[in-house]
Amino acid sequence: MARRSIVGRAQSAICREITDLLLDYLTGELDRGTASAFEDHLRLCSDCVAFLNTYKKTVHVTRSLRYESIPAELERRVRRFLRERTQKGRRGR
Amino acid sequence: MAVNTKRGAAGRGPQGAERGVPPQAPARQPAEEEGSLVERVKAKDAQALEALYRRYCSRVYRQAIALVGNEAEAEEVVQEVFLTLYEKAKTFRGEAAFSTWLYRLATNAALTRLRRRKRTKEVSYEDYLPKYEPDGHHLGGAGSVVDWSQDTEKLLASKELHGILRQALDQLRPVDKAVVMLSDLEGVPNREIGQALGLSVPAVKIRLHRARLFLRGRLAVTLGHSPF
Repeated sequence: MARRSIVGRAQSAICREITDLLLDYLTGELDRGTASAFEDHLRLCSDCVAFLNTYKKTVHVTRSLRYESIPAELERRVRRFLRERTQKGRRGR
Repeated sequence: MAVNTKRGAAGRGPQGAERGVPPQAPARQPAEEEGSLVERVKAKDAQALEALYRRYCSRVYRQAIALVGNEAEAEEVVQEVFLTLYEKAKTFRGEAAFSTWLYRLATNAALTRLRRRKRTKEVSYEDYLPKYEPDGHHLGGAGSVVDWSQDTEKLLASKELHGILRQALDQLRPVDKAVVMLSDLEGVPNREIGQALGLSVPAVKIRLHRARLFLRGRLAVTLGHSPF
């Protein structure tokens, strides 16, 4: 994805471009100049700060989701199924 | 051929390590052992299959239940993944980590089921993505974006927010849901997600970012704010 550089445009760096850089900013994948321009813009734009905070919160809530472990009975049932199928395969050879 | 098991049984990327491994994650095993089990499965060794099953069934189930959302279909996915592992182990050439190959089998099995379903209510991403003025600033001018990030603690504690988020995840397109699940729940690096889903790394990042923007918009609306 080709992007126009925001370096040196903190005052005019528009919020749409900042949003596009959020993912790379949070994973530390922006080059130093772009990260610095990104942060310069944040110092001037409370909307982008609010957007960044709520984006981070969304990721945090997603990461805190937990799905249940495999139920013991289901685990045994599938194990039995696999034994039967693999034995059948051997008998069928 | 040497089997690539560099990331071992845990198979977690940096994001997963950062968040801590949930208690149900399989214990990390010596890489050689996993490689040798895979080789034995290729030779139709049912005991080796069972050893790999014991090691990975929780992870595969968690991935399946997160994607398909019900126990019956998740069970089918787990069966299918390990049966495919037994029958097609020879097609695993070790170019990617073994765990990546399993992600691929599990995701494909789950996506097949999701795609079969009638999509009852199509939700437009666009309704929840940020909007901008013609000059590129946030819609509504300065001060228009509400920072609700501190308002969620009570809802988080009551698990209400998790329920809302699960509903929003179910409204994602199946592949986008798989990307979010693998990245944010399993901590799988983007490169491996790409290998598992047949996507380039930039495509994974675009899908992940767009899905997160959609989820953010859905949470904002639920909390009584504009999604933009």
